[in-house]
Amino acid sequence: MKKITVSVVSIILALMMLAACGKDAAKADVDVKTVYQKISESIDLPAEKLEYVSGDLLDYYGIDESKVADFAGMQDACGYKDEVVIIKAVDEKAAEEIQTLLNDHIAYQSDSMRNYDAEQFKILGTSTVNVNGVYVAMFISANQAEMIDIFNSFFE
Amino acid sequence: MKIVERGIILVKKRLVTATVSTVLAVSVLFTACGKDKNSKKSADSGKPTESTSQSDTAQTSSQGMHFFDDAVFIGDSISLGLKNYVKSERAKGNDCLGEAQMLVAGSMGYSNTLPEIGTPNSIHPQYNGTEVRIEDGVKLMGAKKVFIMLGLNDFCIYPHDMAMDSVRECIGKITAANPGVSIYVQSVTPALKDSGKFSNENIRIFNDGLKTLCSENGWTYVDVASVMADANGCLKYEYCGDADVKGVHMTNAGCEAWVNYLYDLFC
Repeated sequence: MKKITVSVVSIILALMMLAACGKDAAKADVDVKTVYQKISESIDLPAEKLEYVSGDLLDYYGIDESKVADFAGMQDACGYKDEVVIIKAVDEKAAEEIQTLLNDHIAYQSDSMRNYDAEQFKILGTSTVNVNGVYVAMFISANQAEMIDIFNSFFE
Repeated sequence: MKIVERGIILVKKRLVTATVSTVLAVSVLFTACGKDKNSKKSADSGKPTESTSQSDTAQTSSQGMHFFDDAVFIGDSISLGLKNYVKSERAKGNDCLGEAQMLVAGSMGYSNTLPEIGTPNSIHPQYNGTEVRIEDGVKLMGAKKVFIMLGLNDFCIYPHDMAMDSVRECIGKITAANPGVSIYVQSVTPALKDSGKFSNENIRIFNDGLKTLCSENGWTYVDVASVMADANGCLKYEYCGDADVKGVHMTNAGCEAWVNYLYDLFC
């Protein structure tokens, strides 16, 4: 009987801990502009770049800004190389939609680079969209692993 | 009393003289300004012998700096750079090609944009994140002027005649779907150095073909290449943004020269 009680209590405690972790990730309050700043301080971004302003998310990714609480990012001035975009969606449903659009963007860019720029095509092939709660980030860069690490560090 | 009356008369005379002088001076100034503007336009219209349309000057004189407001720029990765340059300038609060819109896609050519969307190896631009055919994009944007610069992804792959057929077909689709639209064909800009089929001689041959098509079809040929080339016909080093790679994409300085050329020509 004692053993059963201990087991049940342990399971309940474990479940409570997991639930608490989940809550933390979803409720994390991260300033996306700070994340972008940290990335630009830690990694050499292109010297000539376009930093995103209102309207650019729709233009480049088809993202409706009514689904976006805040964003930051840039792309290489040449228009087909490095891209960094970090978005705080208004809710998790919006975050899922944004994730889909960014994945579509990677696929589109990959198609257009397939017969054009082998190096960029390879980078696009390993590019992913990273989601943490309502936060969505896409990094198209040779340094994407480091960028992902920085992004994730804000949720630890 | 007489002195006072004389004084009043003198003041009145001086007032009349001053008013007349001011009116005359202002008139002369306005006339001079008008002359300057007109003389600049005639110089511009004479400068690019490549600009073959006769209607441009008339349109320019009435539209001035708003000439590009109803324009769309169609292009490949070179125009992707122009798009980002224009957006950067506008973000700084600078006027840059008015309200012109961009319909661009990396590696797009006159040929590979002809097949339907979804066809393997076809390339189409995106409008608000959705792939569209060029002619449909022009319609969605409500553009009345189409500036098109494609070709880098044509002449290296297809024989000249086939590439020219694609130009004809691509622009034909744009004009068929958008009646009344004006077509401005921009020349392919030079490369920093020759690399196999990708040579400045082949670019020149392709551009000559474009020029002929323009005069046959009433399209305006806009020789952007002329301001991008050095004395040897290669892309000016300071305008090249990828000297170690392809050697065809522009720096912001290159894009600025491109925009200034268009302003000189049309505004």
